[in-house]
Amino acid sequence: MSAFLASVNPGLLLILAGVVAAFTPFQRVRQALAIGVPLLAIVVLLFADLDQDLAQVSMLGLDMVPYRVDALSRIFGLAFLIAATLNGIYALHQDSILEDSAAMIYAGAAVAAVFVGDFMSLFLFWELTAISSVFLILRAGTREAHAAAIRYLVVQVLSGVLLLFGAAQLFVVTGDVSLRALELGEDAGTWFLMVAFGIKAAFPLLHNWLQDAYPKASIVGAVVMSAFTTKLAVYVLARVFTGEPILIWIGAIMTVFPVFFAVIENDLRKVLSYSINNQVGFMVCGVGIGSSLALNGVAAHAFADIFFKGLLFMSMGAVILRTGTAKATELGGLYRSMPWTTLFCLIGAASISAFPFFSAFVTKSMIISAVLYEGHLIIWLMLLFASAGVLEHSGIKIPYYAFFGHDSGKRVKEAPFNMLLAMGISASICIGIGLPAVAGLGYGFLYSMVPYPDVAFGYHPYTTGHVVTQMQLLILAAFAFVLLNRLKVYPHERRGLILDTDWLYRRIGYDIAIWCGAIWAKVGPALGRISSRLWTKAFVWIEACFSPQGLISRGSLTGGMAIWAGVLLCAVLVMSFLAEA
Amino acid sequence: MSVDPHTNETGERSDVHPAARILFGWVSSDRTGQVIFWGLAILGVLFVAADAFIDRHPENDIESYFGFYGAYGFFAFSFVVLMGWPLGRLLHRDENYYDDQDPEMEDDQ
Repeated sequence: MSAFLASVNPGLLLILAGVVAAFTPFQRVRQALAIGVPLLAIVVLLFADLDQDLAQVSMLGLDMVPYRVDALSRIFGLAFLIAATLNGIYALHQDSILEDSAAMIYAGAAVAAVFVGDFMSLFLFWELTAISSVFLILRAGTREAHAAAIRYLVVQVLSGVLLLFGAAQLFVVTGDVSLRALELGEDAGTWFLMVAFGIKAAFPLLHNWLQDAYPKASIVGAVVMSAFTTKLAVYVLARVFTGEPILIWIGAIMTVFPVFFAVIENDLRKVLSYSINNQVGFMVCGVGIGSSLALNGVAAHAFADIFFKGLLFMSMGAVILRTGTAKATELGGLYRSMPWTTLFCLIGAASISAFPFFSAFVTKSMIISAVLYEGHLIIWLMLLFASAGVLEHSGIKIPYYAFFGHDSGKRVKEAPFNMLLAMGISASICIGIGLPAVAGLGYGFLYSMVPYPDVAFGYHPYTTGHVVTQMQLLILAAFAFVLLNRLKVYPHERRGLILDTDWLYRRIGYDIAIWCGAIWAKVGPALGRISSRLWTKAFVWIEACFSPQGLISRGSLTGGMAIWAGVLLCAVLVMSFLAEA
Repeated sequence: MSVDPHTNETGERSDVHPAARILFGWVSSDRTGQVIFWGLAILGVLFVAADAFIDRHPENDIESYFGFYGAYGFFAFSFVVLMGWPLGRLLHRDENYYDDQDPEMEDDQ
């Protein structure tokens, strides 16, 4: 049994559990699966042998590797599995076959994708993450969620198709489908791969599906989705395009632009969606740098991000469950009735802002230091700018507008115990991995799991210089917040929607499609009439010529035509013989 | 007898979670705003002043400026927030701009 488990990709266990859950009407059984199976998978993973193919399949002439573990995939897979367990706890209060099942299959697909060793297996699980997660959006049941789910599915499936196309192109050229480091431009297929990964990582201009779908997903759905899709893309980028210079700029732009949208956005879950963009930007930038320190930073920051971002989404989910909204204009003062949720949200906010003793302080700093060491001055300034921006939207805006600020007068019940438990564990992880490393605890655990532990332990986040400079940045940025509020120049939260580049297809593209439809409604019947008239005339003419009673069949011409046709065929035959000779 | 600060806008005694008094009772004090403002100001000055006493091993010229991180954090944050005004004017639209909301939600507005 243990030998069998050692050769099974842990993601497949979750997918199987999800399929079983889809046919299980008993809530408690599904919940036991949702929590128990990820825990089992964690055990399986921790005992897996590193750096060897643990399963191999040859199919259709392709050598596929469905299970392979190394240090890079292990830390991502571990984070995914812990997140899946926490999501199972977070969802305990509800009874939904669809959501339980979709969440497990989705998490399983993401885990499985991390542990495969070839592009074709990656494609299968890549698409499965898209198809399973769309139900988490649909489950919200609103009209806007339905529309967003369709857009999400189209974009995600497109990403998969591009991945398949790129992988097929690579296979044709090199005969090798193994998941490996590639150089952008070494083959046309690499560009398709880059765009496929870029869609899932939500690169600038390819990012709108994220802000469109996540805020409209169900309460549990948004929490689940925040963990997997974008981080899976970061993992694959780190695997395939390490040290690709273009990623440095893409990542830096990703960290900066969402900051401006987040400050004026009213929907706090949409603010968090922009925050995902921003944090993934740091990781993409780190992949572009490609040094050992940068890759350690990418892996560690992805691990930390999965928990602090999940925690923030969990706190907003609890707010929606109790108040029915995540709009800043309708919230405020909830600390009075949801103090524990407030506390956990503050811990998530401090973690993402990278305060000392919280997770991002020991993870994001590795990426920023790597950028600094490599001498990318402008990029470094952009990342620092984005760090101040993170404090604005995720560090202050989210907790301030939801739990403090203007009192909305809403007096609700505290979140259910299971939600508080999931948030409490997430918060403990956020603090636990951010503390100074003492006796293998604190950040020591995280640093021991990164791809290059030796390099990681040579990096010391708790130097006086780092603590002082980081506190300067954060304290004075926070001071700017209170000062601007006092001067009453902080932009008011207003109900409404903030346009992003999805306007191009949701408004312009949609309007063009509607216009084309309207034009076709008028032109179509006219064209139909014209073509039917033309066909009628043509038929009459053809009949007049070629029917048994037609012009050509009359008199001796038929015999003449047959002879001439024979002569022409002979001429063609002779010419082709001559050409051959 | 002191007035319970945890009242709602209509002045009625509100249903406040017991843990809220312990964890965040201080928030509703009148002086909290002042304390936070001056506390951050003093902390900011202290951390900037600490630049003079620590050896930071700067990697480039910009980083070696006295109080660089503090000033950069302050101005970056202010810039982001103040850009909210023109961007809000440019990009803000009605909630049902894309006409994809449920009919009852439109009625709420």
